[in-house]
Amino acid sequence: MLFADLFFLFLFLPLCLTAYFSSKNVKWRNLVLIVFSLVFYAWGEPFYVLLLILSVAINYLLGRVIGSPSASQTKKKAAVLGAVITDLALLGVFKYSGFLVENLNLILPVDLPVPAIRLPIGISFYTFQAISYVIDVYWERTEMQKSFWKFLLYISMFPQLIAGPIVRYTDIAAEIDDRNPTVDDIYAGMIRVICGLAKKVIIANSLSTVVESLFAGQMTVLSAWTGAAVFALQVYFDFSGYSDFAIGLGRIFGFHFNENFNYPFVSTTIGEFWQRWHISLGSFFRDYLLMIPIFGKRRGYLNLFIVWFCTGLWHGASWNFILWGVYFGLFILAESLIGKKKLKRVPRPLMHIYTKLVLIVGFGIFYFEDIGALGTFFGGLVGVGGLYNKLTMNVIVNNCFLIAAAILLSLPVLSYLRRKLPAESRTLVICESVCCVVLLFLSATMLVNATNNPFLYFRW
Amino acid sequence: MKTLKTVIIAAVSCLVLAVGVLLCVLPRPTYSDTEKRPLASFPTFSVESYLSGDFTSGINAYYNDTIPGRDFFKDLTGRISKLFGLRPDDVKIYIPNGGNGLLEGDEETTEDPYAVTMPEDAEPALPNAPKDTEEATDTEPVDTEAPVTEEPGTDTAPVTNDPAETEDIETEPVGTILAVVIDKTHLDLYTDREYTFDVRLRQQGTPEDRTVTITADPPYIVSIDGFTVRGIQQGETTLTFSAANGVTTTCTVSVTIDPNRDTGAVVDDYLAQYGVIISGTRAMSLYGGSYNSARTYMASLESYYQDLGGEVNVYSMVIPTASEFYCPDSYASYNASQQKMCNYIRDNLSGNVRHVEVYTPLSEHCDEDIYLRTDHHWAPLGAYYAAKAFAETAGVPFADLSTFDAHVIEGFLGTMYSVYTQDPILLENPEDFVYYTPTNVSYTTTYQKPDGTGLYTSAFFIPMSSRGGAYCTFMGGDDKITHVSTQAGTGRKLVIIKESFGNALPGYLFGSFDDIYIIDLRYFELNTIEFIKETGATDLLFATCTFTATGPASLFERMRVQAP
Repeated sequence: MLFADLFFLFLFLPLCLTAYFSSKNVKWRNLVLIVFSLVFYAWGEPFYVLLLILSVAINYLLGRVIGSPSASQTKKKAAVLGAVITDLALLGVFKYSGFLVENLNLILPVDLPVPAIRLPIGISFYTFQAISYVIDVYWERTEMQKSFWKFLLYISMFPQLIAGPIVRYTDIAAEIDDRNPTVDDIYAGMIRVICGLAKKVIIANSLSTVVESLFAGQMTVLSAWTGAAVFALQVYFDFSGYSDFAIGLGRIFGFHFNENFNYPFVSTTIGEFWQRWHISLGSFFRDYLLMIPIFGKRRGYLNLFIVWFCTGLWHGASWNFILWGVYFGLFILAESLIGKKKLKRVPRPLMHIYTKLVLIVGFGIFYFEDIGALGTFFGGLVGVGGLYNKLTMNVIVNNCFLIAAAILLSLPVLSYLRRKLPAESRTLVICESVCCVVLLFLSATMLVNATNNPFLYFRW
Repeated sequence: MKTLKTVIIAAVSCLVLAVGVLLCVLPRPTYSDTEKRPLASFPTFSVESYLSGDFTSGINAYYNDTIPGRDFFKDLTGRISKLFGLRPDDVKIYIPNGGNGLLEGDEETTEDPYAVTMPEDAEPALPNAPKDTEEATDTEPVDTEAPVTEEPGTDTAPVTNDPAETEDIETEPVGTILAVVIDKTHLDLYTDREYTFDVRLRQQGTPEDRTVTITADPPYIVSIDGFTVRGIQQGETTLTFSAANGVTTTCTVSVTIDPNRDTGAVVDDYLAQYGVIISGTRAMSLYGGSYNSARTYMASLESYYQDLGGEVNVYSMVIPTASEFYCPDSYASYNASQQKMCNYIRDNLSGNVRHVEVYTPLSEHCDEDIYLRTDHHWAPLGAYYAAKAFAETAGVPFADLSTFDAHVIEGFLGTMYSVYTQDPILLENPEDFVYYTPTNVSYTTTYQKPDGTGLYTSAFFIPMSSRGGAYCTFMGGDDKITHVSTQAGTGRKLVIIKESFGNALPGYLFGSFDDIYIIDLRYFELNTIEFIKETGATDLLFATCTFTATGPASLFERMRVQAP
C-alpha cells in the first residue's frame, strides 16, 4: 500500500485512526498500530510479510541476548555480530544478489545464473532500523526491548516502514510505553500530513512528467541541465513529501520522529547538503558505519570512500548509484581538504552556484541507470547534442510556473514567513487549515487521474 | 487556541470520514465513455492471486479506477495543469509514455526501421527501372548529342599513344567501342537524391550502336532513369554500364538515409514517433513513419493480389493525418512529411495494386472541417472526399454529398483529450461531430463477431450520446465483421480491410457496391483470403492511415497469413 492513494487515504487511514483514538489505553493503541501496520505491509507483500516478522524475531532474540545482564561480553559480541550480519545478509541477498552475480560474471571467467529475486518493499529501511537497535543495545545507549510485540511495533510501524525516515529505537523507546498526543500534536501532524501529500501528488508527480518530456528526444545543453535540475526538485518533493507524511502521521499517533530534510537546496557546500538531505541515512552511516572498529579514525580517506560507496549503493543495486555516492564523496573530500575557514571566505553566491552545479549533475547521475543513457546525458551537458531546441523551450515555458513554484517552495520561504508572524495567531491557524483543506481536495482530485503512484525512493 | 484547533481537527476528520463513507456506499461506474474502456472490476480472491499480490493491488485499482464522478475530477486535474505555465504560440507539446496508441496489437520492433530487409515475396517496382535491358535502350538518351560524344579523331578518355594501338587502328573494323568511361568509380548517394552520370565512350571510328545501358545489382537499391540514378533504399549496389558490344565498366553505389531529408530535418525521432502537439484548439499526433515499413506494406498488398489469383481489384488508400496539414511551421522539424510518404507509395506500388489518391483532394479541402480537432481521426467530411476519390479510381457510381442527410453531435471530446492529453484547452473547446447518412439507397447491415459467429442485424450508423463516443457511430466500433447489403445494382462487391480510419468510408459507398464487407486489421480472426473469395468480391480496398501503413507493426502480413 502507498500513502498517495485514495484507498489508503479514505478507507485505511480513517479506519486506523478511528480504532486508535477509540481508547486512551496505550496497550490498545499499540495493538491497533501493530495490526494495521502488518495489514499495511502484507497488502503490498503478502508473502514477504513473513520475512519482516522473521527479521524482527531474529533481531529481538539476539537483542535479548545482547541486553541481558547475565550474558558474557563474548556472547554479547557474538550476538550483535550475528544480528548485524543477518540483517546485512538479508539485505544483500534480496537487494544485491543479482547485481553481485552480474558483476562477477563480468570480471571473472564464469557465467553464473543471475538470480532474479524481487525486492521486498521497505527492506532497506527496516533492516537499518534493526541494525541501529542491536548496536545501540550493545553500546548500552538503550535498554533492550523485552516485549516482542513492542519491538515488532517499533520495526513495523507503518508511517515509516516502507519509506523512512530511518527511526532510531532510542528516539521512540520511551514513547512506545508512554505517549499522549495532544491537540497541538494532532493538529500539527495533520497539517504536516496534508503538506506532505500535496508535495508528493501535486508537485512531485507533475514534475515527473516535465522531467520525462525534457529527457525525451535530443539531449541538448538546455534539456540536460534543466532536466536534471527539475529531477532534483522532483526527488526532493517526492521524498521529503513522504517523510513529511510519515513524521506527521507519527505525530498524530504521539511519536516524535526526527526531521529527515532541512531545506537542502539552501546549502553552500556539499557537506552541508548531506546534513540537510535524507538526514536519517547520513547520521546512520556516521554513527554506525564509522564507529565500527575496523574503520578506525586513522584511515580517513578510506572511511570516506566506504561511507559514500555505501551511501550510493544503498540507493540502488546499480553502478550509477555507486557512482553518485562516490561523486559526492569526492566533493566532500575536496571540501574537507580545503577546510571550512577557506571556504567561508569564498563569496556566498559563488558557493551557491558551485553547489547547484554539482547537485544538478549529481541528480542526473541518479536518474540514468543505463550507462549508455548516462553517457548521452554527460554529452548533452557539454553541448554534444546542441545548445537547445524548440521542444525543450516549449516544455519549459509550458511548465514555467510549476517549476518556479517548486523552486520557491524548496526554499524556507513559508517558515520564514511564519517566524515573522506572532507565535500563536488565530488567523494563521485558520489560513493554514483552509489552505490544507484545499490542498487535500486538490491532491485527492489529482489522485483520481493517476494510474499508479509509487514513491520514487520506493524501490528501496 | 486549543478549542480552535480541536474544532478544525474535528471538521477535517468528519470531512475525510464522510468522503470515505461516500466512496464505500455510492454506486461505482463500470465503463468509461470518455476513455472507451471498461473500468477495473473487483478482483476475485484465490490463494494464488493473494500471494502474488494481484488481489490486493486489484482492490486498490478497483477502488481508484471507479471513483464516482471520475470524469469531473479528471477534467479538474486538466484545468489545474493550465496553471503550470504558458503556451508560447498557443502550442503545447505532449509526450505521452508508451507510444501514441494508433498502432495497436503489435509491439514496437527495436530494429533500425531503415535497415534493409526485403520481404520474401516482394519484387518492388522501382520507378523508371528498366525491367530488362532492351527497355533501357529505348529510354536511353544516348542518341542525343550531349552525354556521349565523340570528338572526331581523338579519344575522350586518357589514352596512351601506344604505337601498337595505333597500328591496330588501321586494321580495326568501321567503328569499335573500346571502353565506357564514366566519371565515378564509386558513388555515395542519399535516398531520394539523384546523380546523373557523365558517360562517354572511348571508340575508334564511328560505331553504329552507341547505346549504353545501366543495370544495377542488386536492383532495388537505386532506380535508374537514363543516366540518372536515384537512391531508393539504404544499401550497396554495383552499376554496370554496358556498351552495345558488351564492353562494360562498373561503379559501386552506397545509398544511405539522408539525415537531413528535405522534409525539414526530423531532428527528433522519439518525438515524431510519440509526440502530440496542440496548436490553438487542435490536437494532432506528430508523424514519424518508415520507408521500410511502407515497402513491407506495399509488398504485402501485392501478395494479397497474387493470393486472390489476380481476380480481385486491389486498392491502396493511405490516409494522411491532421498533423500534415495543420502542424505549425515552427514545429515542422518534428514532423516528417506524409506527402512524401504518400507519393512514395503512389510511385512504388506494384502495377497490380491500384493507388487511390486521397492526399490531393484532402489537401485541397483542408480549410474545411475534414479532420477532428479533439480526436486522432479524420472527420466524416474528410472521409467523403476520400471515398469519392476511391469511387473514381474503382469506376463505380458515387453519390454527391448533397444527397446525404447531415447529423450533428455537439460537444464532442475525442481521444486526443480523453486518452492522450486531458488538455484543458480541448476541454473548453469541444467540437461538433458532423456525419452523413445516405438517403437514396436502401441497405441492410449485419454484424458478426471477429471469429465469424453471432450473426445479427442492426443499424450501420449507431446513435451515440456520450461526450466521447461520436466516432463509434460507424458500426459501433471495430471488433466485428460487418456486411452491408445494398440495392445499388452495380454488380460490384467490395471488401474493406481497415483500421478505425476506414470506418468512416463505407457510408458513402452504399450506392456504389452491391455488397460491402468491412473487416478490421486488428481484430479479424478468420482466414482472410478465403473470406474474401467466399464473398465473391470484385474489389478489395485497404484503407488505413499513414501511421498504420508505415508504422512498425506488420499487421497486413499477419492478417494475410493467419489461418482460422
